[in-house]
Amino acid sequence: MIERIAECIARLRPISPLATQCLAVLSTPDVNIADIVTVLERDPGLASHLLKLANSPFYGCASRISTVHQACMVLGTRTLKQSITAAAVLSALDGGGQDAGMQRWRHAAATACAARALAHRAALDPDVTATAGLLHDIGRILIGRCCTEQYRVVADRARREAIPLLVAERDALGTDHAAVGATISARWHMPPELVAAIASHHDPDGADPQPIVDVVHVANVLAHALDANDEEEVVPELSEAAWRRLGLDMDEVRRHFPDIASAGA
Amino acid sequence: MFVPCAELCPGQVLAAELLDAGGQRLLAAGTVLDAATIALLARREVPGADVVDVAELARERCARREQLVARTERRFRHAGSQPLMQTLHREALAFFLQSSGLDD
Repeated sequence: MIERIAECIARLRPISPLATQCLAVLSTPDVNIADIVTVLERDPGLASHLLKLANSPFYGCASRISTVHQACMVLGTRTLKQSITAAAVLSALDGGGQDAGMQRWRHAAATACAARALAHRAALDPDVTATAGLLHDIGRILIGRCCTEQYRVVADRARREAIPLLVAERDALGTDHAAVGATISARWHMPPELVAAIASHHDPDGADPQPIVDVVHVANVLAHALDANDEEEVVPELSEAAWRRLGLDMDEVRRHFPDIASAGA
Repeated sequence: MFVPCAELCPGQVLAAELLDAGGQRLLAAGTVLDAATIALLARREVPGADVVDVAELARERCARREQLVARTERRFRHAGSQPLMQTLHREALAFFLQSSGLDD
């Protein structure tokens, strides 16, 4: 099975070159939104994912955004960089702009919302941290795409036996979604902090703990815990060490519960 | 639950709209009965009204609450004795109960 996953990774199409072009335009001092819009509109998959992101609650836009131009105006250049990165990744995993790669969207949005809310505890950039939260489970999207039936059996076993999903994945597939996600993100040359957050979101207590990993780890657990629609998946274990490193207390975290729960609704 | 007019009590809530013998609407569903309204219904010789069964509502509420508690327990079932996970379990359940209007 691990060979099949490796084959899927090898066959992944690269991140849209248009996204790379957009990111380059966004890095120029006098950014012209019209130039970005022109580039984005040439990639319908990328544009549709950008609109989905722009309309998700964690970007906090009050009104519905229906055009790429509106999205660019409302999000602003800084947030736009992060959301184009996320849209490009999701679009590439999606294989054609359909909803297949967005199955886990609710959980991703809730994790991104929680990560954004907690970013200040580690003096992290909220946009980068939210993007890490949004993309932390890209490994699950890929495994789900290339081993659909086997992955359903793995998830069923994890639920039935109340064991962590990672353990069930390693037993059946010889790898897990964090490792697969790390491979994909490195292959796509994502920034090192995103690769680390994706690789270690279930295991933040390695030799060299990183703040962004701690935040995404806690955010992931909170998003699972507050998902009222998830009937069966067990809530992953929360690292007390990561919680302590971020100096969190439940009174503060509780205030974010409604936003996290509604981001994933 | 149909209650004869003579047994209606102030505070009861109509489960369905109340019509007179000619099919004319007298009161809307959800109306909270008071003594004056009950007296008026008696004068108009209304036989009775369908009112909300409070005991049944309480049973339903209790069942929904138990369902929510059980579902949350299932999702936290491997939390074991880790204090932080136990706290999160408690907090998540309190949040679910409150947002469903099932907290006491």
